[in-house]
Amino acid sequence: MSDFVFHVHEPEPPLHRWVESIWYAKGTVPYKREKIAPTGSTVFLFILGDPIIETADNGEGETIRSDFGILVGPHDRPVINEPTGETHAVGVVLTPVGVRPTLGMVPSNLRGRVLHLNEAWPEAAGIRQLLLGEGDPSAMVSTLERQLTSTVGAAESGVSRIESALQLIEADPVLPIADVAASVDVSHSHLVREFTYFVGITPRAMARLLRLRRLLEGLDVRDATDWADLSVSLGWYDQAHLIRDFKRHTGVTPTEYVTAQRATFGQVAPEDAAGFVPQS
Amino acid sequence: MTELTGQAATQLANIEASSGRTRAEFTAEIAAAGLEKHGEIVSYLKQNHGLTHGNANLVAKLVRDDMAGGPASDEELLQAQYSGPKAALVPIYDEVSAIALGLGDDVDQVIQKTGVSFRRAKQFLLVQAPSAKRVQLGLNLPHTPKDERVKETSGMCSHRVDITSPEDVDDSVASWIAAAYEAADG
Repeated sequence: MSDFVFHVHEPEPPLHRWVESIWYAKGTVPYKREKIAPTGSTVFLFILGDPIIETADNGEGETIRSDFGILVGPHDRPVINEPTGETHAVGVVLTPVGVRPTLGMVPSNLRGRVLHLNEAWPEAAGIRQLLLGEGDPSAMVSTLERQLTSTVGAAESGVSRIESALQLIEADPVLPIADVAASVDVSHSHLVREFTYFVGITPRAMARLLRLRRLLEGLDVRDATDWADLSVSLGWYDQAHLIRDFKRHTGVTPTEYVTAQRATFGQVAPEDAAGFVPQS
Repeated sequence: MTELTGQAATQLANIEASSGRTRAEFTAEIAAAGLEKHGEIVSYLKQNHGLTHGNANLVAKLVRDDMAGGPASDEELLQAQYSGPKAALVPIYDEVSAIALGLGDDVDQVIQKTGVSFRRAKQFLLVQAPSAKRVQLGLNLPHTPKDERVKETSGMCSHRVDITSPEDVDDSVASWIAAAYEAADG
């Protein structure tokens, strides 16, 4: 992995409210493809090198092969990423509420989908030209941040309430959605609708996948894991329910996940590898 | 709905608090049970909710007023569809309706007696609760998705999907609803 360059940049406010990070990647991964577990975010990437193939819904959904760019909508199933050669790309990870202000799109229409970036977003062609004109990675990332800052839309009313709801769900993914609604002072059905309007997935689906994120991020694949113990401490009814959610979001069983991570990342799995399942 | 004052209002508030049901919920439930006569409603309330005769008498009177007061509200119609053992299906309905309404400002939600219809230029989704075990989605899809959960059907909808748990309302289900929405554009 040492020849793989990966930089992550966190944008400044006010863009930071809509864009979680901008990353730059260049290099060849030592495997054929990978399953990437959902984070609740929409992601888009500008491809500057060899084409990349992405398939939605754990390999059962739409497939896109592009040497321009790909948009991956909000999803709760893994997306399969398959570089055809060297990966060279600049990516944008939106916050859960970032789709409307950044892209001006309806998040629900993007759920579980992969799209050609140039077809979905007319501004993409001009931005990609600017990126290709830059010499080094940090200049590309700054240019992209400047572009997004200049085109981003205003905050719609109600979005701060959904940001508060997201904070509550992130802090405690097992919290009943009715309690979240009560905390932000709206009815249960109002919260579910408004949340889906801004995020593209429902609060219940978001809570489910954030609970699994918490498990993946806390997992040390080098150690033996007591899955029964872990399932109880993170609020699953039992181990069978944990395994079902694990497969739903990662596409593999816990054992397959640990084996794949060990085989690729060896003794030191990088922190940002949580949710990645390399496949040879 | 006629508003109550004085003693009757206090009595109703106490009934609602102790039974855990609102006046609208009583009305929806009685309507769903198909009861119309005062005496029948009084016995039903005493038997099923343990109301005293005096309390049952008041609720029966109010329910009959509400039922006579023209068509039921959307809320009452929806409650009637998901009353009793079907109340457990409400989380599935919530997931599906949020997805359908999130697709655009042009989505109309029409709550009928036996189902909820989501329409654009034409209907793209019909949500029904045919039993306490499942919610049935009727979709109008241009193509049949490769998923064993989707069954071809005829009539008002081209495809049918049975959902038994809110967790099953996943990316695939959302993408079918989105595809039906796109196809309902005129």
